Amino acid sequence: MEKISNDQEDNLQDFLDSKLEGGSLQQLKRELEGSPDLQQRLEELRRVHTFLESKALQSPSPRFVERVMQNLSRAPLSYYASPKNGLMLLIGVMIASGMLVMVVSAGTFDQITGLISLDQIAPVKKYVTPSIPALHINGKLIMNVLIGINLILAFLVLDRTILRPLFQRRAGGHSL
Amino acid sequence: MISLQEENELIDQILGGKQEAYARLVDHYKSYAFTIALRILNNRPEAEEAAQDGFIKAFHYLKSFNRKARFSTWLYRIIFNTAISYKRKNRHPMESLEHHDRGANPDESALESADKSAFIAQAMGLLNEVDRQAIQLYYIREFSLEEVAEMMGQRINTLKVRVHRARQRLADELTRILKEEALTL
Repeated sequence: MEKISNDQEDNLQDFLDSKLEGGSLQQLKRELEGSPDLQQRLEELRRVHTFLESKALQSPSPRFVERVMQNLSRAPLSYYASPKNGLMLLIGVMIASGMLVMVVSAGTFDQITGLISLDQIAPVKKYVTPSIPALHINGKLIMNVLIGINLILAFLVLDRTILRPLFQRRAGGHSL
Repeated sequence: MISLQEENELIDQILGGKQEAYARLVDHYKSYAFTIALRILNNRPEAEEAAQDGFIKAFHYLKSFNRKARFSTWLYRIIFNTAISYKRKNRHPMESLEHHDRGANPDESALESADKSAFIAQAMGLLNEVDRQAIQLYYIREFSLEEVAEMMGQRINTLKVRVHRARQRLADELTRILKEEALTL
């Protein structure tokens, strides 16, 4: 079997797409006349081309426009992460919060208190001469704030990935 | 059919608060939008949902449409990206024969045509995902290489290579499958 070059293959495809003109078209026609293998390859490509070309434009259901118009006021569903990913994230956040609560309840941070004297920090000392009040550090308080942030995050994840999409679907916007 | 001027007027009306004008745009582009989503997702209910979601997204982002490109190209890109994100969320097997049309060639019997559909679907499953998307979108009637490249966010030359490569591979696979079928008869 005669080897078909990449250029010939490209020309055959351009020919099927009606994009081959002038000299290139004439040359391909001459090559086709003299090569049964090239003719066979053209038929193989044409078989695929004809099939794909015949695939008609598809129509959605008759109430498609109405459904889109009914749902214009809501945020698109793909704004939200999938419920599965949301649930995983929620579980992760809850585990992190639970661990923080356990650590705080065990009193690990009760003893972490103290003062940070900002006057002694080198860059600050270089540019600021007046004395700066010292900063109080309370480990327990910091951990409680972190727990609070985690709980807010958990609520947002629950709302955005599970509750809102669920209620929007129930509201009938996406019953097909 | 909506002219370019009419389309711009409709967009102005929508941006001016006349929401119902959007229905005309949706009606005009729904089949193309749905077909794009269907080619990506291969599942009618999901494609319908993705196309609806894409239209809703386009409505919300309409202010950002700068009118340098055609509205259709901008819209189809949103639909394409929405369908891709649906596909990532719910993975479906590629080789559903549900939407491979019958009757590709009027000379063929229904059985031969159905067989060819099945063989091409089988061969299609062997392509890489981006090549498959490229060839499926390219064959949606009236889409030029430039439009598909814009939609998929690729260079025209890259897309042309993808379409050629995909078609070459399909032709090779189809020939191989038909030979194997002939041997089993």
